[in-house]
Amino acid sequence: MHARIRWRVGLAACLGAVLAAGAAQAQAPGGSPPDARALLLKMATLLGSTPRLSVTAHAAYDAVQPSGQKIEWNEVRTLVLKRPDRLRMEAEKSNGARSLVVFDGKEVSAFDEAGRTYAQAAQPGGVDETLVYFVRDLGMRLPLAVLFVSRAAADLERRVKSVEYVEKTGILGAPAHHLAGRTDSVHFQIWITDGDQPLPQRIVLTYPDAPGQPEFRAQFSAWNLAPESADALFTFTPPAGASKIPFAAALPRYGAATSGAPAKKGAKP
Amino acid sequence: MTSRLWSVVSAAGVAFAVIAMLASDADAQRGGGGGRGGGGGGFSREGPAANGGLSSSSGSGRGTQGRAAAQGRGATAGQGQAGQGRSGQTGENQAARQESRASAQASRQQYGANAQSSRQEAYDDQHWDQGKGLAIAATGAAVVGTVGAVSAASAAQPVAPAPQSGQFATAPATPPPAVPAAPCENPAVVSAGGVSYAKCGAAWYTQAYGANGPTWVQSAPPPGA
Repeated sequence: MHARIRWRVGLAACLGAVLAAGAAQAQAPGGSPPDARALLLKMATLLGSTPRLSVTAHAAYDAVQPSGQKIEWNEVRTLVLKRPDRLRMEAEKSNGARSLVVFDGKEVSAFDEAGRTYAQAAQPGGVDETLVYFVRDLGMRLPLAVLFVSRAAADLERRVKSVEYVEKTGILGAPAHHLAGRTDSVHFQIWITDGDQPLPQRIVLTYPDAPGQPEFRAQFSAWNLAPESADALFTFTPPAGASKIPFAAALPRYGAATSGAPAKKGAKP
Repeated sequence: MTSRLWSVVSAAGVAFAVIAMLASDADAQRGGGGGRGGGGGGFSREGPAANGGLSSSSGSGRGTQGRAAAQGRGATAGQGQAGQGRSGQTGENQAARQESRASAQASRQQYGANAQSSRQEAYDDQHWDQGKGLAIAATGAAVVGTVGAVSAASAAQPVAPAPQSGQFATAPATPPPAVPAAPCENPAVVSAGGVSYAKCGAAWYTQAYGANGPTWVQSAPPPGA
């Protein structure tokens, strides 16, 4: 009988200890989590204000097929940016297609290696105007361009409707803050390096209104906020034998000659 | 005799497999035909996630179609109100009143349309990375009047571009894909003004740089065709 009582008391003590430890662990971080919006804007401010940067992004996105099946496409992009008016981006898709985008302060050029073709458009202005013109008016792909305009913080401040702190993690290699947020039409998660240089390590964008809710994912590496970048890096010289073709978006629409809206020359965001 | 027959059958089987593999590889390199937008095996590379934007026009109701529909409704309502104005002319005063009312309505509609347009432009500017131009550029939508734009592009082409050994700083990880396939099999290719045109049946195509690289877009015939 005494043995049974002692056993029950022991069990209760153990359970109590476990519960107390659990409660203590839950409160261990002490107080409220870091301000997610402040972390996000701090990152955007750093990206928008640094005079030079280079970074490599291993990106993947889902393309939902007519059958409903998702196919993931991969690509590697290396961006070199020198404010106010120099930009270079090399891209390689998973099928080996390589392309180059160069902005030299006067023209933006896009070159396709396999097809040995390139297109050029006059674009006076800075990197900001060029990114907007390239993406919005020429309809070209430059994922996450919004992170690389000088007004990135203001853009995010305006667009992000909500953002929450998920956790602090070191799973990506360096301590990072994992945030989750929403704009009008996109859900996003971002992992921002903890410390003096709050650079993004990874980002996941989900398009909830699109069929199949596809995602775009990018893992950043080789961040450099002071890259050696000679002017020649931002000069595009067409290779011998390369053909110049127009940007598709710059062509007036077939059958709508009067109302066709080719891309404007240059752009001011 | 049996072993000889067996050898012949085996050889035929191996030959068939090799031919099938080659055909499959060639098809994969063509990317299912069309522009570079198609992936290997005919899978599409298109979709809202391809842009990697923080905004998306998909399903948001703010797309071009929604906008056009809204404007269309506005125009219809305006016509109906104008029709009411015309039907009420029974005297000069009444006509004047009607005219005044119609004018005020037109003014309000114009203001509304302008305000709607301004709001839309502001929205577009705030969501410039949603990739709305992508559909036109990537799918090779039909275009006309390419001659001017293409000629302008080719006119600026350097006469003797300097040879450059390497455009890219990094080595390729994957062998490059085949050159983008023509828009149809065995097209008649015509060169005009330094631009290549491909004729498929009655339709003409020219090459342009889209979101996924060079692609063929339907165009007006080349000059003199």
